[in-house]
Amino acid sequence: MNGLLGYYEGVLALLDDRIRGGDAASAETTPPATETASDETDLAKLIAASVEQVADSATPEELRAMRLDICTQALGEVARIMREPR
Amino acid sequence: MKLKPLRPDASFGLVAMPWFWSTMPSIQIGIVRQLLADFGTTRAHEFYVDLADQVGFDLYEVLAMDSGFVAERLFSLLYYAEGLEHDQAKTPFLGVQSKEVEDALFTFLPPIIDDLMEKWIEELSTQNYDAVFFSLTINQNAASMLMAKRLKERRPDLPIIFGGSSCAGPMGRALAAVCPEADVVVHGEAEVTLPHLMKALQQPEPDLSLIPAISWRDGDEIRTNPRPPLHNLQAPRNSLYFGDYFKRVEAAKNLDLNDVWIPFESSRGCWYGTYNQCTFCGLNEIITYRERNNDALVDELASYQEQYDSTQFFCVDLIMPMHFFKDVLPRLQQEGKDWSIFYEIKANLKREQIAQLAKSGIRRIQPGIESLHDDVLKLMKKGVSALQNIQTLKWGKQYGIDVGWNIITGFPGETAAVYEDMAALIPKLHHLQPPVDCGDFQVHRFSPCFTKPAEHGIRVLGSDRRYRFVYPVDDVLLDDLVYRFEYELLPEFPSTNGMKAPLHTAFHSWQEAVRRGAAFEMIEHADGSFELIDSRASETPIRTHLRPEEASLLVFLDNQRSAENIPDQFERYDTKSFAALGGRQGIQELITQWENKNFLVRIGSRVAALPTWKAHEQQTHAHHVKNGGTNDERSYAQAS
Repeated sequence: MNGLLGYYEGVLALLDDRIRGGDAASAETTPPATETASDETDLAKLIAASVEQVADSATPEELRAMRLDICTQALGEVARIMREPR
Repeated sequence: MKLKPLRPDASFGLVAMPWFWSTMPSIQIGIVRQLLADFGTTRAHEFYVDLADQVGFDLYEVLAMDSGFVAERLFSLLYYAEGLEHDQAKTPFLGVQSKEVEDALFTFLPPIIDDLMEKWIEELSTQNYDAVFFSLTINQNAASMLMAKRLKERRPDLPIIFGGSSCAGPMGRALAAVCPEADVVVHGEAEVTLPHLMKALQQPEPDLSLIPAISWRDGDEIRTNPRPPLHNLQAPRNSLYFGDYFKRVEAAKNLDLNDVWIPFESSRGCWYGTYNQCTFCGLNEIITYRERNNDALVDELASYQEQYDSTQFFCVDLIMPMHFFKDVLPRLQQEGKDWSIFYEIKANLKREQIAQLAKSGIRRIQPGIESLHDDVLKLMKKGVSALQNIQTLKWGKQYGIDVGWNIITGFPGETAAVYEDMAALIPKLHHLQPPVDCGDFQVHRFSPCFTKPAEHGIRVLGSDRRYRFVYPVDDVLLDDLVYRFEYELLPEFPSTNGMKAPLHTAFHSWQEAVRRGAAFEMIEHADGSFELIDSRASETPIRTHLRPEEASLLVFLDNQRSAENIPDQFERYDTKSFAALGGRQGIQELITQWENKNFLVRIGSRVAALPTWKAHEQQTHAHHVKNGGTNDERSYAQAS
């Protein structure tokens, strides 16, 4: 997967873990700043901030909502990739 | 499971799962709803709208329009759960753009699907239905199976009925075998089966043994009842109800009501295929042509417009009958509505017929062009020539009709020369609508290539192996369940693999030319002179002045003609211009000159002019209606 999708995958894995009651290392959610374009980095930072914000105190419902949000955003990136000329 | 008798005041859920086209209500659901009206109340649940809304229209439509292996697997992974696990490394590329994209889809779509499934189950459960009917057409098998399973987990005694084109023929029985949650699978037309089925289900001891065209569970055994003659379509039918779909789209955040097309039906089957089926065409037993009584068709569309405030109509017919040009289309024209209508047509139309389509509000057509080479069209038994296809593209462009079409490559029996020929032809067509795609020939169930493969140079090897990533069942069952098949060419039919590059290069250049606005137009100026403006090859147009007699010849060649007969015919058509051009010899020289400049295209012994006429594109629908056609249409009519 490309940098941003790989990042989304990491965030998704962390959220899945939290939903299951685990305590995965947050390092997986560190934005790959040096590998991505600035707009992607900004987006990744925003998401990371959201994850950090809810990670410890979110209810299961909030975690699930965030999981859906991450997936929806990731699919937006997939759609963007698919629109690129081949 | 033994089915319980239905209550007199029964209620039924009608479900259409992903991946039906999101911009359209399901006409299948609309028809079933009407058939069930005598047996209880109904509500439609077109859940595919919700998924399109969640993941975005563009991404959804790619998966809906795709061959379905990814789309179906996304749901079958949940249906089979432990029987079918997703291992990224072991899952091959299944056909959606790239492996990277597919891996991402399999990572990020399942949580969304899981969440929506919970909502959908909740929505259905609160209704406490007496039976739930599923329509299975476009990549909807696995999603329907999953929903049926989840429903049965909550209510094991809830009758579940599957039907639709994905259940036709042996696929219906196979579906009953792979999905024990489906109590009844209807493998024929709903009109033939449902009235009998519903009456049987109302009896104290429902007996399904005499219900036509179903597969059903009798204890541990799956029984299949034969299909009776097809529905004749002649019984009057009121307009269908699509209100539940519109409510769902209205509630969506990311979908636009202006994108919706309302489906309608004026016939079933294919009048051409009834007697001469295209060799690749996978229409099932419903190919026999039948028409509705279409006297009230215009009123039906008008009622949809009034009810849903929509002016886009999608005809689900397989082919428009020719008599529509004399009866139905003039009525649509007289109605004078600003409608956009889609129809599938045969591409052997005359110019005035395409003009009639435009005047009647037919703004999109799918003429089944499939190839621009006569040799391939003959192998396909298409019943049209490459020049007829080109004329359809030209006149479609001229009259503002969007023409959807594809090129089928790799057709059994073709030679490498067809790719060189089409690649040489395509630059002349850069002003016309390019194909949506160039895709390889596929063997579909029910097609002549499937039923008589040796006659068409192939040997069918079994179901497409990618289905194994959707259905973890044995090969015999899989072969009955699916629609696409693997094949190999017989030894005497050489493969053209590796020889298609010239066509693909030409195809991409064509798309690029259209993106930059390539055109080739003949314009009549106010002073009576004519000019050709040609930007097919470059952004800077080449302008060519035409004398009136030259313009007369080019107009004469707008409709394809035998090269040999052109001078004689033109002399009768326009004696004065014939003389002004230097008679027979002068005309032949001019034709050669125009061929060299790509003003004309010659295929075999026939020649046709390529420019569109600018004058036509400037005419509005209202102007057509008011004035009975344009000046050059009238001159064309005289010429014909």
